[in-house]
Amino acid sequence: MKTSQTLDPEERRRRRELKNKKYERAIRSRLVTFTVVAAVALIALIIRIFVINAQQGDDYEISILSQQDYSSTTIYARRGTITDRNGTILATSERIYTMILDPSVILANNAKNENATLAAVNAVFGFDIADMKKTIEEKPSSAYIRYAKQLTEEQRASFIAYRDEVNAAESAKETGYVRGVWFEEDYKRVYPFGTFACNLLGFSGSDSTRGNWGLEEYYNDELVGMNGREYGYVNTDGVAERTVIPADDGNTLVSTIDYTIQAACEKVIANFAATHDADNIAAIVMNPNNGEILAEATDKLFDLNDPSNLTYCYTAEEIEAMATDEELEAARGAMWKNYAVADAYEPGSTAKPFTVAAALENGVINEHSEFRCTGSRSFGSGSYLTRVKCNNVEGHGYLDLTESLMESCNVAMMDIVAALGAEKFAEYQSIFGFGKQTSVDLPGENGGLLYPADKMGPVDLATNSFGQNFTVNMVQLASAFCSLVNGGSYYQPHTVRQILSSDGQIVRNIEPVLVRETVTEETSAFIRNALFETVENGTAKTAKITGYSIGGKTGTAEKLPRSDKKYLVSFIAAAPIDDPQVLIYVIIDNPTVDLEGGESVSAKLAIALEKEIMENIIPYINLEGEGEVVSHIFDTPTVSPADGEGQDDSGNDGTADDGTDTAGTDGGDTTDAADADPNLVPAAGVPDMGGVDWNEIDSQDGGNTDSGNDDG
Amino acid sequence: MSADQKTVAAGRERTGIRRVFFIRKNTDNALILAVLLLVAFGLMMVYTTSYYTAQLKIGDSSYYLTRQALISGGALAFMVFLSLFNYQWLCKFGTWPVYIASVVLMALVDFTSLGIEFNGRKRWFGIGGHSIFQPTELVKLALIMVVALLLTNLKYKIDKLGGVLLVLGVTGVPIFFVFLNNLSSSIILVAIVLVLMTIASEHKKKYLAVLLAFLAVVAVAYFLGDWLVDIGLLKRYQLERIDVWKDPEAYSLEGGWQVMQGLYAIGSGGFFGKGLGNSVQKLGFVPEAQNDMVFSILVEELGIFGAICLIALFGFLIYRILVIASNAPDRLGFFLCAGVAVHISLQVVLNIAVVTNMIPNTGVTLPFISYGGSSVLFLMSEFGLVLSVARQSVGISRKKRSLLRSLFGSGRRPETAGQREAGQAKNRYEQASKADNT
Repeated sequence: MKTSQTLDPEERRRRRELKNKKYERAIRSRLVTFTVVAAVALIALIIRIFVINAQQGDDYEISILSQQDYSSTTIYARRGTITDRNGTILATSERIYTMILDPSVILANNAKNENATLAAVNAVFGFDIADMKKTIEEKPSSAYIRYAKQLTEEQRASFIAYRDEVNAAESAKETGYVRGVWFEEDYKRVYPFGTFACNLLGFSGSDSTRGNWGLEEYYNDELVGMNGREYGYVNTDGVAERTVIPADDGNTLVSTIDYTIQAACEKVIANFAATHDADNIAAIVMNPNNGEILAEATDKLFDLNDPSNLTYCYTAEEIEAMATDEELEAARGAMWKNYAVADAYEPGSTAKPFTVAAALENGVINEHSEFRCTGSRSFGSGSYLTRVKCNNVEGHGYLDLTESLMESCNVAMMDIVAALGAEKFAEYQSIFGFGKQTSVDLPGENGGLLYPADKMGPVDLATNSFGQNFTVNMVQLASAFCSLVNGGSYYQPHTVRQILSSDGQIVRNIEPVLVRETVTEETSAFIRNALFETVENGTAKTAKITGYSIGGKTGTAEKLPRSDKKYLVSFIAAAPIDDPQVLIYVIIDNPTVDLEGGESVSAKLAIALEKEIMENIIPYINLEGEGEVVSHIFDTPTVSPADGEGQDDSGNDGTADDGTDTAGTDGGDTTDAADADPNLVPAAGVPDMGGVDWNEIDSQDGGNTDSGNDDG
Repeated sequence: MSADQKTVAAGRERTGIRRVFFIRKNTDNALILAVLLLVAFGLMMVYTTSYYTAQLKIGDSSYYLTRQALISGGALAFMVFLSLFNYQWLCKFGTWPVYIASVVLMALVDFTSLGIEFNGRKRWFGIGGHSIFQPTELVKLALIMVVALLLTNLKYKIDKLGGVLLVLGVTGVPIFFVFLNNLSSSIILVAIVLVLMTIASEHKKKYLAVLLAFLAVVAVAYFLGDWLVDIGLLKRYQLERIDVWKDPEAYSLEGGWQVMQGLYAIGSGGFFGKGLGNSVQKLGFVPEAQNDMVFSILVEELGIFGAICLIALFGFLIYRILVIASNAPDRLGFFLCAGVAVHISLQVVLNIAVVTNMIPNTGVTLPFISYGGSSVLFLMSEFGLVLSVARQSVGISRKKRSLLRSLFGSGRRPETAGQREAGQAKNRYEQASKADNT
């Protein structure tokens, strides 16, 4: 400092300036030094990134891949709908939703969102807020809690509307947003008519990819569709991607079942079951000209929406008594199976027309053959003597061929097959489709048991001739009978006529399959006439419906063991008999009857059922013809079939009303069935049939219109 | 003041409007270009990192992008507006109001209900529950201005105890308030102040020692922490971040999971990355990927290459500030630029160091790239000041600039007669000094 004092002011100013300059240069260089240090640090960090990539890059990549959640979400396919022939929905799948709570989102921001969200769920669904709070706060980091199942489309829609309203409101900023509630789609199988056609339809439960029994099982592959998927994956570049494969919904089955006819059958059976006990009651209605099964009903009902519920078929005590799961399973199995295909039984006298037809075809008899019934036939001799009785042990005396059927004479049948021989008889059993499955499109068919020709002794042959000692199932017998009355064409029986895609396009029409010709037209004409005479003057007189030409054959089969004196009574009928359009086959297995009330176990029980069904469906299917049937039947062509002659219809008023109502509403309107919307859901009860697509009946609506008007 | 001003401002006294505005078309386009590039880069990263979670939680995938873009646009305009002012006038009249405002706001956030808590951290200032901004970011701006002003005015007194205490006292108040709710930001503030003092002081070794001691304390905090736990002064959970840093996998619940997810992202990027938008880790694994951890997603998507590009861009930005600082007309301009440079480089280095797990998680954002409106707004204000300094650069001759020189050149003019004279004076001074010593 001493030096500076000696310097002049100019020098001092210069020195200060110099000092400032030096200082400024120094601070600049220090700033540069700092940034160099920072730059070195940044380069070190880049090196660090290189090192991480080089040393642990592969490990970390694996770690990333392994923590990715690849679990994909299923997009459920909608199981196909099953409709009756006119589009009435018998089984469908309703969209339901599962509510997913996502705590990681709900709890993400603050308690406001949580409160708002839970309040919204509570407001729409009514779930307890405290319970939800507990659920989500137990797993705060979870993103997927299935909270509620089976929510309807409306519930979901109302929640979404509520949520959007809350979130759009200005106040949401203060009160919180509704977040983290998702819905997953699923489907629930719904049978709108509960027990309706239960044995035929079968059911599909919680696992919508599986059908149990009936059409649901047989056509499962068509109905099930293909589930779609939404899934994430990591591609070869390590990039996560998401892909959606949409679900392929199942096809729609248009069955051959007719709602009205099926409903009539079920009602008639239910009425009978209300007053009588029987092991089984079953009815099947077919179109004889193409093998379509129009209805198939049994008395073993169950609710398709709740198939495990035994209460329709068993009393509370019976259910109580079922201690083990095996017993319950057996009880359910018995309830679920379809008697019409799953059980084989001895048909009894309904087999006689087949015997006669086989003999006529082979020329061993002709239409004018005569028989003498003495009440029984004996086979063998001595200790091997077997006497086979006729149904009339007094003997029918002299009969011609038609009368042998009219009176259902066993002796005549035994004489016929004796002439025919076992081999020919067995051949014709095979031609008629007995002893083997009909390939009907229903699961669990029991093909029945026959004697092969080489094992068939004279007694076996004799008893087979009138329908004992071999077994058939209902579909088998009805299908064979169709061929007998329709001129000899055996069509494969079937229950589905069309398969539609989920958007209504035709995937496939199931055309009638002509399996073989069984008999000639002449034989068929003879049988038809014999059946007509049977109803007019023979054993089935009670089946007569004035104004209609009906032909039928009764059956009363003795069940095994014969000593029990148990019977299976049946009646099979076709109408109009000269050109059959409908065939009804009814069986009642081991009925208990009110003996003191004058009833006896006879085919009349079955006839009564058949008649009620026939009366109910005649107006519905326009079953009338002009000028082509035997004239005396049409003396009173406009008589209401339901009111009939007042004979034998006590206790079926309700059923008859159903029939006439349907006729009144829809009579004459047969044109637009083909256009009926398959997705049309009936409002309730009897659906709007919109007429019947009755392919083979198209020239007979004049008389019916009258009938319908009268009814109305 | 007047003597200094004469020296550094080439002897020009400004009056009237020229005191407030300094309109000379001497704009540092290179710096503006770098800022624009960084803002664009930042918006891109904010969108790619946030759209998934934004869609999921808010229902609007561009929610963060829209907000950030609006604020960035406004902040850019504000930066240009601020650069038109004469920074000397701005600092003379603006420093203390800004400083007082930052202290008051920090105090309000810390001690009143005007502080908004978000994600468990009470760092936001807001009215009626609506958070407005983070005063911490304002404190950074205020301290840069205050320290620059103090260092300019104190001149060589910075090496005296009184000067040191003045600087520490003035800066200590807001830093303490920041420390109360945001440890990591307070460390950055302390570092900014200490680095600026080191640069300013002739006793640089002392400051360097203090700075090193400060860094050493931070560096040995882990061992120190263990020792403090052992003697019962600290509880284990208070050292979570250090434990996590030491072994992120073992302390996954305490935050190591996030650290590991960030490392997974970096490690899986490779050299060129998975491609923009293709990060897997942002899909919920790296939480709030648009915030502190944005760099890890950047490496995952754009690879080491992208990281180098971004770091190079930051490097260029800092270099440009350095050039402006070197050509600043006065010490105030220099210290302002130095403060900004120190601020940016500290945050960039610390953020990337955290993401790569070189240091414990401190919650430092990456300037321009991380989502955050306050950060962008006050960063832009700082750059407004830097651009204002650039307008008055002494060395830059507009006519002779080529594009290359405008990017990388120091911009110094060839030596003028005055400078030659000064150089001769310097020689004389040095000779005289030698003479004194002998």
